[in-house]
Amino acid sequence: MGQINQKYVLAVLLVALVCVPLILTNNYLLLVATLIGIYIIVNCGLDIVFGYSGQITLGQAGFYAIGAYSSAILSIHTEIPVIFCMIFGGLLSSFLGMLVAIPSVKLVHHFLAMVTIGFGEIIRLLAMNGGELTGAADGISFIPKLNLFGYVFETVGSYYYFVLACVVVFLVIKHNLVTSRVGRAFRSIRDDNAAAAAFGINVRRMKVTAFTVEGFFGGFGGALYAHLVGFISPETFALQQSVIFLTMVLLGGSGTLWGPVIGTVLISILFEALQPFGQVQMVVYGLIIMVVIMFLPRGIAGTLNDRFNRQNSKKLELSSDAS
Amino acid sequence: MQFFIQLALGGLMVGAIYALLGMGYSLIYRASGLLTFAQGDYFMLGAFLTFTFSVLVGLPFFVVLPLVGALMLGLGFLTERVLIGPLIARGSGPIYIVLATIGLSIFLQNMAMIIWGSQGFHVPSVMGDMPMKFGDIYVVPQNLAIVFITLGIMVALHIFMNKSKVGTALRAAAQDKMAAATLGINVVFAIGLTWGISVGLAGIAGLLIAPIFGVTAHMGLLVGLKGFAAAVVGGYGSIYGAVIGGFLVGLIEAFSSGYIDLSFKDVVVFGVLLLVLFVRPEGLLPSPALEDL
Repeated sequence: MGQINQKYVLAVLLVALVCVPLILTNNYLLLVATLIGIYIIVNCGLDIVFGYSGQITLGQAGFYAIGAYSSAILSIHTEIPVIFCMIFGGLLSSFLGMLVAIPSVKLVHHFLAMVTIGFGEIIRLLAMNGGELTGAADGISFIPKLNLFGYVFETVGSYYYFVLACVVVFLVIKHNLVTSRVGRAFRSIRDDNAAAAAFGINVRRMKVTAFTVEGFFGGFGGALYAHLVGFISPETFALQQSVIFLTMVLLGGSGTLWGPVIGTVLISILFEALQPFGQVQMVVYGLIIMVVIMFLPRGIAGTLNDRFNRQNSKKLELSSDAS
Repeated sequence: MQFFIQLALGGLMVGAIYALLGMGYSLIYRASGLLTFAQGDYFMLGAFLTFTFSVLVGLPFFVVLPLVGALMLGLGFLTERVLIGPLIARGSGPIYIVLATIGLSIFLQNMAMIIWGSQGFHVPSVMGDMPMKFGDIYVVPQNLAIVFITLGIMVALHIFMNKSKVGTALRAAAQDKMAAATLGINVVFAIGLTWGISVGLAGIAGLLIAPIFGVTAHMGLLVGLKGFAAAVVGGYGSIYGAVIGGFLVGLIEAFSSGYIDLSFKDVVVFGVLLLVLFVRPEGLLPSPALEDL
């Protein structure tokens, strides 16, 4: 019953999302909607490391930057089709994620947080000092648009559909990954390191795997961003961006399929609404993080899940009483 | 040689600032077993309070110093009582408390921007801005003062922690809360006071640096991270390690900006931080950075 309901809800949601460009005629709002899609992809990757594997990471903006810069540079200086540049951006970011993860997964939370911050900062500083290749502080402009089978995604509206398709693909990948054997291994590591190891899980290798996956999600998201906006500069990839990503996951509910999606949408809308107030925007942001951790530590999706499960278990208790 | 000495002096000066922040990281780690991301922002706040009291209000330096110190101490105490303590009490995982301090950091930084604006401010030094000349070498008096004040604070902290009754209580509370409580030590107060001291140190660092680098709302971010680097390099949780680490990080930064390239100094510092965490996570002195098997 629940299964069927869920399918209907998803179908309705998808139809609604397909209709968005028809309703949102305002180009700016459509851009925001497309960005939300990109953030969802990035945050799904982040959630695999943070929510499912329980490893703190604040280097998401670094992965995002690697994907954006490598795809932009490749598509400007070579003839390689943009779609392959994007995939390359994802793969490179994934590879670097693995390289960083191998020596750092042995560290406890706060040290790991610092390593990932250091990683993100180094990437940003390299972009800042990369000379002609990265355009230093000016960044890279005139990044070519995506071109698929001769069709150029010139307008934001058309690109929105491409991003939407990517979001669906990445959500399916995430769903399949976290419900697989690997996903269960991730969760067991999050819940108890030693117990996971005792059950024969190679803890370090699993953590490296999580970071490698995160790198691909983040890098591909960055590439999507670069070819959407057509301009990138180091400012976009500051530590603040990593914190924003993490807040989205945290508010929505980490370690759930829909949590990061909900959080991304809510925070993005809130962000746009607070835009006219300037600095207050970030003050509210800081407050949200503290309040959520104080009162809603499992996020929106997590809290809803808990409530749902409690009701279900009550029903179970009742029926077992009856029998 | 002259260039070398000049760089070394500059390195020691910023190193002293990192050392002050690093000591705070280590104290907090020993008291609550946590990392805080707000140290850099308390450092910034200390600088802004200095600017407010000495430039806007016009108080003399010898009033400003204890005033800023006391205010920051109170703020640190409050942070622990209002935010960190309750989170620990309800059993939140360390990962979430670390995130809460990140939220606090964003909050403080942007509040400062709302209150004081986003432009930079200048704070005149009590010792004057004219450099003194020793042979070929120029030394700004404030720089020397920073190094000596830091060393002085370290000695004072050592005496306070090891010889005084309150300091002994703080160490006991950090080591074993239950045992300390049974011996009649007010553990809640002790942990709060430790946070107060840590934040106070960061505030004093901000006060000292204000005449040299000026005051902006963003000044805390990089310094906060480098203060952490100092604590890690020296051995996380050790106060003396943090001081040694602070001077080391300062010197590395100064020499890499002098001999390699100014714009790469931060890359080098973070590179060293990562290298230390990868190769020798326990730092120069032993500490518990490793998690699994």
